[in-house]
This record gives sequence, C-alpha cells and structure tokens, in this order.
Amino acid sequence: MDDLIRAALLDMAKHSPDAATVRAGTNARMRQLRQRRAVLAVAGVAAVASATPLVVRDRPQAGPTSGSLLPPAFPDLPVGPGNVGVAIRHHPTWLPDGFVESARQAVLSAQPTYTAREWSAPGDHPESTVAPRISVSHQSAASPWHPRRSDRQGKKVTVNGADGLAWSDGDDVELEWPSADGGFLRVSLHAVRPGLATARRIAESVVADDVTIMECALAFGWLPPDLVGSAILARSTTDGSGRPSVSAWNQELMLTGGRLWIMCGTATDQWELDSRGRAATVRGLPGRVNPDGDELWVRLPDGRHLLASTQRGAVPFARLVKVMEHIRLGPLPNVAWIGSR
Amino acid sequence: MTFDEYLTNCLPTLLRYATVVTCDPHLAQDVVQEVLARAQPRWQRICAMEQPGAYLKRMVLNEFLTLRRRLAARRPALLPRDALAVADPAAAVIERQHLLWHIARLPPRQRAVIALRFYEDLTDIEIATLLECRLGTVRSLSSRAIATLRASLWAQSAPVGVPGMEGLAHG
Repeated sequence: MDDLIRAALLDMAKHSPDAATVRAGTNARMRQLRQRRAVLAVAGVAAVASATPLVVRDRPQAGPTSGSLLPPAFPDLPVGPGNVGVAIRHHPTWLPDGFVESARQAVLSAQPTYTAREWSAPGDHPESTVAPRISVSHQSAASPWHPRRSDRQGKKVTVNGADGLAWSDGDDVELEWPSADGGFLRVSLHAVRPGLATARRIAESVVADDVTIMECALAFGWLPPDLVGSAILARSTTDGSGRPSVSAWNQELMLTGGRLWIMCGTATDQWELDSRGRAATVRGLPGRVNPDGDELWVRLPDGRHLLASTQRGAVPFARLVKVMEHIRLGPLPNVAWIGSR
Repeated sequence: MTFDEYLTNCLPTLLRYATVVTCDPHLAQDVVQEVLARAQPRWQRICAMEQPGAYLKRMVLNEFLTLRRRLAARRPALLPRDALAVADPAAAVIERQHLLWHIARLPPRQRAVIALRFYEDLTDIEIATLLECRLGTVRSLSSRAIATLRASLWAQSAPVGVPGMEGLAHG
C-alpha cells in the first residue's frame, strides 16, 4: 500500500505547473498585493495634487472616550515646505493590545473624501499569512472611493446608538455606521478574534479630531491628459511585511484602477522590478525598466527609491517616463508614527 | 543566493511539492505564486536561514491549509480528464489513477499528512512540527487517511468521473 501511494504521488508530481509560467504569474501577483492594500474602487473626481501645502488647522485635541490611545500622534506636526498635509479626522481611542500603526491614507484634497488609518500586530503569526490588521476609515457621502457595501444584508448592530451593519467572512469582519457629517465610518478587521465584538468596541471608541496628519512628500508634476482630474489616493505605509518599522517606509500616489502608481521611500527596492529588465536613465540617474515596459525604478541621491508602475497598456512607456521625470519630491516626510500606537 | 537564483534552481521542486500537497496543479500554481510574492520582499531574511527551501515549503503548506477555509466548497480540480490517459493499460497504472483520485478527496490535513509522509519522506515527528500539532494527531490523521484509501482501493467499481476510469472495473 505504501509503495502504491508513493507511486501515485509521483504521478501527480509529474503534472506540476510550468515554472516559467509561475514566475511570470508571481510578478503579476506582486503587483496585485500592492494594489490590494489600497483597495481602489471606482474613479473619483478629486483634483490633481499640487505641491502647495494644504492648510491644516491646529485645533484643541479632542478628548478620548476611553482606552489607551492617548494622545493621537503628532498634534503639532509641522508639514515640510513643498509637502502636503492631510488631516485624518477620526481615530479610535481603543485598540486591542499588540497593534501598532502601519499605514495612513487619504484622498488628496483640502476636504478629503476618504481617509483611513491601519494598525497591524507584528507578533507571532504564520509568515505565510497576512498579519492581523485593523483599519478605521471615514468616507464622505459624496465620495466614490471605497464605497459602502452594496450588500445590505449584514448583521444589524448599534454603535453608540447609531444603526450599523456588520459582515463576517472567514477571518475578515467589517462594520459600517453613519458618521455625524453625513458620511460613514468603517472598521475592518483581519484575523482578529473575537472579530465582531472587537470591531464593535473599536467602533464605539472612535472620536472626531483634526490632529492626526498624513504628510505626503510626493506630487504629480505632469499627467497624461486622459488622467488629469483623476482622484489621487496618497498612502504612507511600512514595507508590508507585517512588522512595521520606521526605517522601512513608502509613500505612494495611486490613481484609481491601478492605472498609475508611484512609490517612493526606503522600503522600495530593486526587487520590485523583474530581474530580466533593462537599464534605463531616469531623472538623469541610472535606473531600470521591466521587460513589459510598465514599471520604472531609480534610486535617488538621498537613498530613497522611486518607482512608477502602471497596469499594462494604461500608460504607454514614453508617457510613464515623462510622469517619472516630473514627479515632485518634497523633503523627507515625518513617518515617525509607524510602529507606534 | 539571490531570489532569482533560488527560483532558477528550486522552483520546479517547489511546484512538484505544491502539486502533490494540493492534488491540484491549478491550485498549486496559485499557492506558489502567493507564497513567492510574499517571500520576495523578505528574501534577505529567508535566505539567511539554514534551509530556505524548507521554509518556503512550510509557507506553501500553511497557505494551502489556510486556503482550505476559503475554498471549503471547492472540490479539487484534479487533472484534465485526459491528463492521466492510460498509455499503459496495465492494472498498476489504473490502480494508481484510482488511488490518486481518492487522495485528492481526502480532507486537506489528511492529504497533507499523506504527501509529507510518502512524498517528502518525513517522520511523524517532523510532520507534527510542520503542522504544529501533536504527534498523536499526525498518527490519527495518517491512519484515517490510509484506512480510507485502502477501503477505496478495494472498492468493486470506479466512481463516476475518475479521469480515464469510466467503465473500468477493478478490485
């Protein structure tokens, strides 16, 4: 019997997939993983970002309702000249132990229609799985970004007296409820247990404030005409390994649907590009372009990496080069919040 | 060793392993791609390990066993109907096909134990370490799987849908 099983399994092994196909698929999956983090939904209407700093008011810090997240990060963060600062106006005052902040994102606008903060737990979990993660986001009623779930068949819950809906799907839990400004708030959990009870406790701890800022040091200097006027999502994040580190950060600018993706920081490295790529000169510096001509990479003099990526065909190579040449880079942004509560 | 060098030398081995564990070449491709996409950014750390290949195999196993929850309703795709065409009509070949069909229908953890024991030649202790379970659990999974396979093997007729087995009786 044992020999027969061995022989059968060897027969099966002969039907393994082609390695070259898998290598190509892996490169595509890398892009998907990056895109999944952003959860880009439908096209938006926000204006192209300019390098003009947005005015962020310093208001008195809102008092927390409970818990251990005091105070919110960097209430007096100075935004570097040439950089954009966007206020993220909601935050939870309670999180489970072990979670540290790993990402902030916002639509670039004086009145951002979508903002979010994320925390991950860098403790023990299988390296092959996504680390436990918590996200708290706010969206205005007018925003097409990250829209409300069309499935309204969730479990009915109340959040501080407001009617909300919750959904569970395996390791994932989402809870949505209306915000005071007519928009809605969402708590999303991955691999956090007990999911619904934790989501509800986080939701009930959310308070409004103007003191948390995402500073963005990137701006488009030129865009293809058909992309001008697209909503731009800015994101600051750590390297995605589930172990947030202030020494490994990226800032990203994304247009909806993955049509254009700019990444700059210390966690972007040459592994982002297919090794079969060729050398190229980008911004007067030695860079690389991948075989499909849809990704460009260069190391900047200050050590940051700069990457431009587009879904195949969305932005022709010559235009991708021009986008890359005109990216406006500000001084290093403050990302000291990465890895803190 | 760079990531690309590793892929050049070891990817076929990893794919064969994934195919045997999942009993589904398409699922194996998905699992390996997912694992490689996650391994690439942290390759420096993985490469510094004593056995990076074993680590990636463990990632494949974890990914498969994690996927099983999401794919609970999905039956193994097995191979295309003609992929195991009987070039040699000898009874042994038919018997292996029949057995493979039943291995693919074992519960995922039983299937993993069978693959690790008979394809990777791991000991029960090594399997228990990989699956992060007790030794007794491994032996229980193994004995149940083998009992199922033995019973299936000696069934009087092949089930409908066995690739290339329609209408063939055996026993």
